[in-house]
Amino acid sequence: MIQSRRGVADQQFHWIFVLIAGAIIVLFFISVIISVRTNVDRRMNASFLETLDTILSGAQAAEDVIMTIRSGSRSSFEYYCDPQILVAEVAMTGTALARQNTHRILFSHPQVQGGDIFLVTRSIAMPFRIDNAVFMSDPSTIYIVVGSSTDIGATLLYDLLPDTFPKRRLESTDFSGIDQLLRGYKRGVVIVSGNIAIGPQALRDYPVNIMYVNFYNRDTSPLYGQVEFYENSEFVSYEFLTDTMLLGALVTADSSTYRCVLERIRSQAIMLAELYMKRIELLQPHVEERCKRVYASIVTEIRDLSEILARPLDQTRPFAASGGEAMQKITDINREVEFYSCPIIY
Amino acid sequence: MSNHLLKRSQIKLFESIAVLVIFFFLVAIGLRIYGGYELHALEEMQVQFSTLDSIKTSLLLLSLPELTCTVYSLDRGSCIDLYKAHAFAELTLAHGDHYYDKFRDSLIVLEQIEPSPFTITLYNESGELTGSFRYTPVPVSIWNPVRRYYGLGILHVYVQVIQ
Repeated sequence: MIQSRRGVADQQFHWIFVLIAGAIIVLFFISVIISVRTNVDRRMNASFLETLDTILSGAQAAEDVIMTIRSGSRSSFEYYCDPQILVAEVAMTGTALARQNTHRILFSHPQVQGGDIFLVTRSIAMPFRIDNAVFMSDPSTIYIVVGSSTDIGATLLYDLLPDTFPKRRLESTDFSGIDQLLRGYKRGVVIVSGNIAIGPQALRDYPVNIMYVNFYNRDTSPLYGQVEFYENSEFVSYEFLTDTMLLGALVTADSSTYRCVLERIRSQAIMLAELYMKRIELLQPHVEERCKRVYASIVTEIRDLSEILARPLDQTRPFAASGGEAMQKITDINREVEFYSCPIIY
Repeated sequence: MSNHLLKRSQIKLFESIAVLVIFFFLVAIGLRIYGGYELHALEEMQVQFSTLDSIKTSLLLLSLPELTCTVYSLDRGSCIDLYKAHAFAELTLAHGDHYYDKFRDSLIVLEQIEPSPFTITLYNESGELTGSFRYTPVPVSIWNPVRRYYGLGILHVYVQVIQ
């Protein structure tokens, strides 16, 4: 009887032992699978971030690139540009993975959804080429241009937006019907042509960024004017000097990011102005007399442009109008240089 | 009899524990092999990334407005303007910090092979090439806007490999 009881207890102990050991083995394998999966995800994200950086480099090297890339990951991205040191970085949300974007002009909303990513490049010329700017957006963001079909400003804004980016025109000047346009999108960027006086409060319940665009000129090139971002119940305004800069403002839809990228463009433009002045200085002894005269006038204009660009952004109308005029003069003199068969400036 | 049963149970228990120990030992060996493979894959990835960095720097140089030649306001691919190159060399000496963000610790030298060979150091933050560097030679044409001819040259790009 006692032996039988011992046998039962022994068997029960055996089963308990098997269950505990089995549970430990199962837990162990679960933890191994989780850690392997995390590692694979991390590696995939790191690899994608590197691939994105390479694609951005390739895209930046060419003008008018239009492409859609698939991230293969649902992770979203954060784009941050530090206004103090002017260094931007693309980071994966919820991870420590980030890639510094030190040398390119990238305009992007601070939040970009994973999945498909739209990339477009356009050249920035002031009037000499500064660089190719890269514009990044995603299919969950829609750009809505408010203005009637007869409004030239609204037409300019609508045409400026790349065709690959989801974009619509809203003809009603009271924002009615905007909820229908936003259906299926996570975020909207509402761009109002300066001619319409509608208060941004009407859109406070929608997931949208609002901005107002005022053009100083519409018929001449370069296009320049002012963009007003409506953020935290306040307006923050910055100027733009070319249509590429304006597109940058529309794509970033965020005043601090725009300002930071604008500062990078300005510092690059000032550096290039110095380079062209040095180049003319080096060319001067080797060119004919007629070229020397034209070169002397263009150096003055380039110096003027450089000084205009160096003005702080916080000033009212700091550079757009005068910068636009200086750019036009440099363009004209460069044509004159070509006419005289002298080595061209840019 | 009871002692005999107890011994049999103990032997069974030891057997089970021995099986578990061997099992975990094999799993540990498997994990070590997998870890080694992962480490190797990471090292390969690092080499790939540094190669990409070097290619990106070369690509950046070829599209850099500070260097590219323009003919009738249009950029020509793989072409460097001689006078821009000289001006750029002076600019990087004066504003090295501005270009450090672009080229980091690297050495970039433009060499003209034909006609009349010469070299211009465009950028030098290499610390006399101490450490590990990846070298990428890029064939380019060099435009002389005064004498109006194209020279044949090589852009020597040395980019430091980050360990």
